[in-house]
Amino acid sequence: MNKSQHHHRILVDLIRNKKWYYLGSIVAVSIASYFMFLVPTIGKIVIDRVITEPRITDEGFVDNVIQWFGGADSLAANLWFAGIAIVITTALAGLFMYLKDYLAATACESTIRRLREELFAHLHRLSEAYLNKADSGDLVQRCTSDMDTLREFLTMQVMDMGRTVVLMCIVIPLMFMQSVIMSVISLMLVPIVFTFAWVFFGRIKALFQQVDEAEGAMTTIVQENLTGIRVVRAFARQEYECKKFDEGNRLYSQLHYKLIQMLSNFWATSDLLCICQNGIVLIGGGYLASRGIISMGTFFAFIGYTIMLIWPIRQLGQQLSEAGKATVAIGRIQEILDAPEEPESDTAIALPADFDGSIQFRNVSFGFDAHKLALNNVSFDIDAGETIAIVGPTGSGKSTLIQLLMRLYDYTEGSIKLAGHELNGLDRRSVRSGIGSLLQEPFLFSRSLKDNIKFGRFDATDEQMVKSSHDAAVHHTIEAFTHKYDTVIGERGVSLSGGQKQRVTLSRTLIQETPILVLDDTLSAVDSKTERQIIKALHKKRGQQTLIIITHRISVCRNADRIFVMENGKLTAQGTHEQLQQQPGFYQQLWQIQSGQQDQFDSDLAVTA
Amino acid sequence: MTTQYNSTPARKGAWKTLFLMVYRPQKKLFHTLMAVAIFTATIDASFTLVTKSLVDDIVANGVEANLLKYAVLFTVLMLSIVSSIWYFIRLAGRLSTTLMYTLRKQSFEHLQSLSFTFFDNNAVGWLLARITSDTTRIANVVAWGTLDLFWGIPFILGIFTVLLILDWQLGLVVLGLFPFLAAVAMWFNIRILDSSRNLRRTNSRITAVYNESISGVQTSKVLVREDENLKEFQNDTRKMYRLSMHNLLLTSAFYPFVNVFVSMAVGAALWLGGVDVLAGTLTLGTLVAFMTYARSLMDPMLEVSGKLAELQRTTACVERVIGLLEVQPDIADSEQVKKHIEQALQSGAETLDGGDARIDTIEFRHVDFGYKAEEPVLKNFNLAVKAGATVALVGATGSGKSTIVSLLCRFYEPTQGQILINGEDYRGRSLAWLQSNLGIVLQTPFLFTGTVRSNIRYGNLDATDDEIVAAAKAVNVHDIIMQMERGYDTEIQEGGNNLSTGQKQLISFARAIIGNPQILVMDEATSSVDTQTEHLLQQSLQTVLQGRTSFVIAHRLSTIRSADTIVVIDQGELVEQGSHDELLAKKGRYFDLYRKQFQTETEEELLSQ
Repeated sequence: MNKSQHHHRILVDLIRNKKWYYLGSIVAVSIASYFMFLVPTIGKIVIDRVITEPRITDEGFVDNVIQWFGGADSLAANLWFAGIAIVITTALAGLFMYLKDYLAATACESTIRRLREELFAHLHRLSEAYLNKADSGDLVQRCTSDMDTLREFLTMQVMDMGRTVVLMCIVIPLMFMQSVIMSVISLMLVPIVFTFAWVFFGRIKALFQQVDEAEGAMTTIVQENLTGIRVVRAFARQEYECKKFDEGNRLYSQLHYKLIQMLSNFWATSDLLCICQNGIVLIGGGYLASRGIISMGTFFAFIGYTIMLIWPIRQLGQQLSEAGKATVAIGRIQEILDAPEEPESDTAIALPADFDGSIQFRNVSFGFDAHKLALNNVSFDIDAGETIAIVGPTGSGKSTLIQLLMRLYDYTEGSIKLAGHELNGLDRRSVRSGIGSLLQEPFLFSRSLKDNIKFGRFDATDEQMVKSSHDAAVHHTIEAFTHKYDTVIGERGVSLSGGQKQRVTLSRTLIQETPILVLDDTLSAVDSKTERQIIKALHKKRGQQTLIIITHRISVCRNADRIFVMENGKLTAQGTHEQLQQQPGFYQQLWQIQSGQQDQFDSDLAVTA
Repeated sequence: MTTQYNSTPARKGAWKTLFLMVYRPQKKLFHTLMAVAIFTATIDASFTLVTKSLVDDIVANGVEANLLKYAVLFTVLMLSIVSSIWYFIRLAGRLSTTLMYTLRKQSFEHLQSLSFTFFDNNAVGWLLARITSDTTRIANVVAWGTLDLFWGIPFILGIFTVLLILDWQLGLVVLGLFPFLAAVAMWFNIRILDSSRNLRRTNSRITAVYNESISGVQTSKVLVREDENLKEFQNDTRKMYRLSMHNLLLTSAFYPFVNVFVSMAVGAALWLGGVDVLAGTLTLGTLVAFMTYARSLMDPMLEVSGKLAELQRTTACVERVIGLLEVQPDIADSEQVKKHIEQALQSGAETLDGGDARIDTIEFRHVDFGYKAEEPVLKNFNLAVKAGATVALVGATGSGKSTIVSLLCRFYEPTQGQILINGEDYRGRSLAWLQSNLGIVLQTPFLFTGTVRSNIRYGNLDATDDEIVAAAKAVNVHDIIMQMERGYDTEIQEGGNNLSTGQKQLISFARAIIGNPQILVMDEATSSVDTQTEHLLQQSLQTVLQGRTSFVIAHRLSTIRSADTIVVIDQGELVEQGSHDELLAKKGRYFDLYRKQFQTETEEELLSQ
């Protein structure tokens, strides 16, 4: 597999979008480098041509500039010119460096921003099958910490590395133009410094990882101690915990110190090399200057050039060897982007606006995996405005039915029609807009109750919100909170009970006023009195809204127009309460437990007594 | 994302406390580090003098100049500076590692002594951040800050001394620019730190949004909220972009700004010094030295101002950590009990505190309790239990069952009334004694990372492998463990994610009984697991409870029925008490509860067919 090329695809695309910014920043850094080069050069010119005897003259460009200023003598009388020139040149170098940073940062940051948004949108389009299998912790990790690694790499390392490379490309040729031999002397150890840094950081990668892991292990110990504090106390294991933590803490500290020791070797050795390079320039240049091979000014300038180059190059070696981390991160992000999205056909049409809520299932079969069918040849018709209750044991395919209806999964066999339109040919989002559904697990977002309820219809009025909350029998509960509808829930606010959550999610769904409403065992945590109240409210729309309720409460079934019994993926019985209670089977048993339980209970009592 | 609520007060004037706490034990290390830093600064300041003498020598003597002398001098300086760099990195590394280790150890051990009220009011995430990141930050700032300040300040002073000696007028000019430079550097450093902090905060906000979006993706899909979600997320990414750009540009403007100030000093040196050289009152070497010194002011300036800014911004961390260390536990052994423990240690008594070893009776006498003063949870609760009896606590959610058990474990203490063990108030016994006689099984079983074996051993650290197997067999989990890939050596992942709830429950049974505790406390799981495991659990439960004083928060009928005494709690009050048969005969509250649970269980059976 051609993996590496694949890995960089997103990056290449995103960089291409901003290529003018990147080009502009390269131009800016080139200009900045030239100005940086000029600073020691000005010193050199002043030393050689103005303040030392004999002055050097060569009829060249520099001489012409000096002549333009009125000659060396006049310049000597107005030496503040040179001082100002140094300040201005430094300022210009700084200005262009800032311009380069501005362009590069804009490019990198918008790249990251685009990537973040693209990932976010992509996550919402991922297929249900992928999401179910994926470890959500890992997904979050990839979207956040891998993204951070990438961001840091782009905004810090790439920017720095680019700067150093351009600086080298500009300054080294200019140095050679001034004095080949001095350039050779000044750059002698540079390749060694670079290689040393590169190799060193390549080799201690493993140690860095070990330190990270030890830190992670130590954090886990603390975290488990704090979350399991009841267990710790119940067994009076405080001392043991302290010992365990001490081991983790010590191991981490030891590795951390070992890393510092390794780093001290690196800094000392590389400093030795860098200072040595400065020393070589000093002594070698001094030798050449004393023999008149180079001027004093050139000698002075090269001391400056060396300092300008050597430290960033050492950095370059380190950055280059750490770039590997970013490559891994890019790969992990790309993997998410490559995950399958819910397919959307181009020919999909929207569910008509006057959709009446009628549903037809014909011989529908579906399985999450090849071995086992979750739905097996299911056929039924639901008329517009009907109320249907679905009962059946766990795993009988009730929820699967709803998932297919919502187009969370696509059926492979048979046919499902909404008002005569084949479901697979309808636009997913229009289908979901037409069906209000409550999933088994109520999920609320950590924001205010108002925002949560209006989540499904953000343009809803407050009156509509209050009405839907009334219908969901949660209005009074909400009014009892100090901040009423502005109460923030979840991690940062009030935590709701299971029943309250279910009712808030119901209100959120009711506010949408859809032709079909589906409740998937949604009122399990609500007490039966409140449940009756809710069902009564829902029945105000009876005949206008198709209502499908998955439940195991006979009281709910009684009110339905028809009851479907699901067992092992099949629709095994359907009819009214009166019909089904007569037929031996699942429904009759359920009914007996819930209404005629007295007999069984009494016989049980007799046994215990 | 974890919530950050906390009740720990930040402690004002914490730096001083911290300083005394860390300085005294590490005096020698601190002093050596300071000495090495000052030594390094001196050598750093001497380098340029070599350059100066060399230049002067060459100008004066030309070919006659003795370069070897300078080469030797330079080498000596180079070697001493490199070795002191090597040494001080190690010293500062050792100091920071030691401080980190000690601070963490102290805070972790301190947490072990704090009571549950504290943990109720301080989020795990908040505490975790104090123990891990705050301590790291403090240790680094103290160690590397000491190094940088003791290197930077003498270096700056050294440079000025040399400048003033070489040419006091020129020296004063450079000195005059210094305050501006310092002000600019400080201004930038503080802003950069603040902007980084803002950036981190926004970044964690983005992490939280990803987290929530991934958990709620199905909800967003069925409510067709994808576009709105993206729009909201774009607000966050826009903010992140803005802050990030701000941070990058601030950092990138910093260096050029400082550089312009430095170049003013260099320019001034070239101008004024150049005039002097022309007049013959200053040597070229001194001029070069001046320009080099002016430039080398930059590094120590940046380091010192950076560290000062960091010190200032770490104050909050220090206040939080010291605040945490100063929290006093509400529940601890009294002075009297401590005295008993000492006596018992000397006399070699059977128990830790010299009291009774056997627990014969437990009595709650007129116990009142509330987590908050204004919300009483238990009101005048009375209950007497004899050794070996099983007490089932039944009642609705929030009736106070768990509170009774928490009080018994002395996780909290009664606000009124007493809990008596063998007729003596349990506050007269040591906490460790009571808690080491407890076995506890939580509703949601908590296992630690580690092997299955080590988790069972948690209940009795001295248990042999055979005893572990025996305990596992007693609770019917041995076969399940043996079916796992690595048997007792199977690694349990964080949160026990690789085991089913039933398996975790069984393992926590084994853990509870292996220490052969006199009192067993159990919060039975409400939701049933699969039928097979449910059956095993019920069987094991009988073994676990047998012959032990047990308090069970019971939900399942079979558990309730097998209890010796059933206590019905309603709104913090004991409403009925007696055996199963007695209470049924009463046809009161228990009768209703039992009937309801009977229905639920029969229904569950039918539904999970």
